[in-house]
Amino acid sequence: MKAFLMKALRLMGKRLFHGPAFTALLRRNGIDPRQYWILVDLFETLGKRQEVTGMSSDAYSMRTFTIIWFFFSGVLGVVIGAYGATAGIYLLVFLVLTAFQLSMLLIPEIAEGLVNPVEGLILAHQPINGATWLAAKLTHLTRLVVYVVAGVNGVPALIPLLGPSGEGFRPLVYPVLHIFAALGVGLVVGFLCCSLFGWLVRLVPVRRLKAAAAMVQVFPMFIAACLQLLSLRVDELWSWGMSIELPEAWLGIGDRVPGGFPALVAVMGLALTTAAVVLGLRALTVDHLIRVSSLMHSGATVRKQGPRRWSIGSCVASFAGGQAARGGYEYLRLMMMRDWQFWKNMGLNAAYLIVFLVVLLFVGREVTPFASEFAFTHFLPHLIGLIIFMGCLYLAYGNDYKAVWSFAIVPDTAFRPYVRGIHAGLWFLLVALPHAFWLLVLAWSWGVRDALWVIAFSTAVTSLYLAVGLRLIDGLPFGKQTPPARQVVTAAMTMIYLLVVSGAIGIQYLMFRSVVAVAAVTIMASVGAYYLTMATLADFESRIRQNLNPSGTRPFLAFDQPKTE
Amino acid sequence: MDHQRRPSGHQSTVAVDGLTFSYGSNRVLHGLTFALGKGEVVGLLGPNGAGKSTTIKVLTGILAPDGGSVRVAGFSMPGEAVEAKKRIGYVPEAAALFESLSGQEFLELMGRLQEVPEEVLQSRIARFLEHFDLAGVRLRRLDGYSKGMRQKVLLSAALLHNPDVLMLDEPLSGLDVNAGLMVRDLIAALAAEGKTVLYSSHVLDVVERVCDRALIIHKGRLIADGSLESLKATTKRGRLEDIFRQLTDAEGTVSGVSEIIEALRS
Repeated sequence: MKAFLMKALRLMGKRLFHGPAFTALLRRNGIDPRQYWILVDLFETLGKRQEVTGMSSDAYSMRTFTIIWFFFSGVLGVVIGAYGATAGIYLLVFLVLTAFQLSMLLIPEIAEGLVNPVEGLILAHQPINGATWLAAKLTHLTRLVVYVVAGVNGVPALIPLLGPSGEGFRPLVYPVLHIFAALGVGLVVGFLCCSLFGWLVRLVPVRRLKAAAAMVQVFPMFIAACLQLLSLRVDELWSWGMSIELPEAWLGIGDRVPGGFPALVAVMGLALTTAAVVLGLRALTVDHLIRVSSLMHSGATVRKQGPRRWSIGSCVASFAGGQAARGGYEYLRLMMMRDWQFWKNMGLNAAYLIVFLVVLLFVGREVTPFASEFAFTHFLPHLIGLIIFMGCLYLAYGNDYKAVWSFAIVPDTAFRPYVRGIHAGLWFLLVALPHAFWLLVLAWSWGVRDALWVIAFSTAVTSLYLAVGLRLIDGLPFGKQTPPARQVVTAAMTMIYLLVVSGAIGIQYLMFRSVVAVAAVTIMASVGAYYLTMATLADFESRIRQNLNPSGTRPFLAFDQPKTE
Repeated sequence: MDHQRRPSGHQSTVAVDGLTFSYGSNRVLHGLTFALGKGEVVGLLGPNGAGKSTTIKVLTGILAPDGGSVRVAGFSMPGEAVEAKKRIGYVPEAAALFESLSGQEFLELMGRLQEVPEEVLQSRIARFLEHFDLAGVRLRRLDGYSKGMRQKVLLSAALLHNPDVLMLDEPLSGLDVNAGLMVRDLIAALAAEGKTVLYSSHVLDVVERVCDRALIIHKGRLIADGSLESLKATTKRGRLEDIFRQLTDAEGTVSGVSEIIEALRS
């Protein structure tokens, strides 16, 4: 039955989209119909076979996403329904969620497709015009919209039919309305995301485009964090908004329009958005396949630096085992700064956490954890810990995973200092630096004593997290190709982590009643972190060897130093 | 090949006049001017970073020039790039391929994008794969191909639509001796058929045997353009290697070698 239905649907689709009307529509828009269908088939095949890893639109990633969201959105739907929300509020919640999820998935997806384009490079010398290529790409992205809409809205659209619910839910009408509204929102968000990149391409010089695209990917997270911050001051904002007095002339124009000034603002907003989308999309159609190659060869130049007498690298070399340790640290630092894949994966997730962390601490810095009320600083070690976990998780998956061979000719004796250099780098960048910053902020607010205790405790706990996190660096850094569905799975793992951490924060809340308890736990965590780090580094080192040479014999010995008696 | 659009007036198959190109603020081509005629096999030579691959990319419509004019098969670049690309076969320097497609699928894709009729396409693919010794692995995914096998796929893809102009960027890279000899003979045969071939390579011996004429680029400037005989006569050198060294200021390579050895001893 299912097979018959699918076949019938496919046949209908084929008749509709391969028919003369659709072909004429494509031609009218400068799209070559034959090449369009070849490219649509190509992108579908590449997606099915997971050719372009690190993207979310392959079939496996999207199925995983849909299944995870069937569950989460179902739970959310039941909870909202239980509160007796009206149909309007219920629908609005899921439309906002759809828009947010879609922008989170689409922006990196489009960035990957346009700014780091595998297909573009291979197809650049083929006689394909920009409009045809873009139309095929947009068609492919529409699949992502359908999956997200189905995942986030499929179950919630049906939930109101199953039991008692709030006002406005009309049986049979509501599910259809819900799904169509979500699809509409999905398409609008999709066009907005694409046009955003069109504007980037139009405004940003080619050599800065990759960096700009990396920053844009953080944009939805940034907006969400800002909205969170604003929601803490919602009353003040409302009264400020109400106090604004518009000039008489503006109100006069509004009076002449049906619906008044708000309708005028809405129409103007709609017109501006439409213009922005159309112009943005047009910028993408012009000559993407010509721009691709320039993009790949226009890497930003590196600022020339002379050798420094003192640097963190030289400190790492002194304390962690010499030049190999420095090599590990420097490679890690440069990779974290410049690697596109790392930025793409890490930036998106970490930016939200960092903004969230800063917002929480600035809002809650007036209450110390030693006070009787709840302090937001309890989140500090766990949010930094989550950033560490993500950093470690994504470090394995660099852009240049094919350069892994270069580690194979490294002398065997260099691996120990090398992994110590990596650990030293991570500890400095992800543990020491943020805590030093927060020590200053918190000491200013609470005084030195409380700040020192909190930072000591947090440093010990995050060092422990780092020791565990290093085990997430799978095999040799940084030589693995990003697997599909990584982001989707990471999102699910993050949710589980946050649930576990909320229990730990409860314990902290009780523990911070006593300085002695804090001191004891800090010492225990520090000692634990030390021993766990030592064990993890030994394991990390052996995993590197194993990864380079699974047979277990020593790898390439040509450059090994001779043993000294 | 029957193309619907006719070129907007042409004499040479490839005509480049005052071509300039920059990657960001880095200018890599400084006013190149040359022309390639029908049936000519022209070697494009130059040291690393001289601008050879960039020149080829501009000629194939992959990069848009900053200045000057470029016409290929009578179509101007980049304005008429889509039409020009239908007449160009290109073997890139770095073999980027869709790794998850099989050799057969990749060639089918390239041929269909070039609008080769299906029957002709299948027949050509079968014959190319047979002659390049790839028939047995045609259904294997490209990620399982060796470098030489990938190069053969790229060469086949470049020829599928029977182009008027061939732009070959290090086409023999990774090929075994027999395949290399076959490609050399093939280039000569294609030239005899009236195809124009621009052949970029660092292997001067091969260029000397394959090409009628050489263009030498150095630091983005064309420093020599002529038949191999005329270059030999002008520079009073007997071999292309010596001509190349003289023109690209590489005669100091001996002192360079001793400096490297000196650095290793320090």
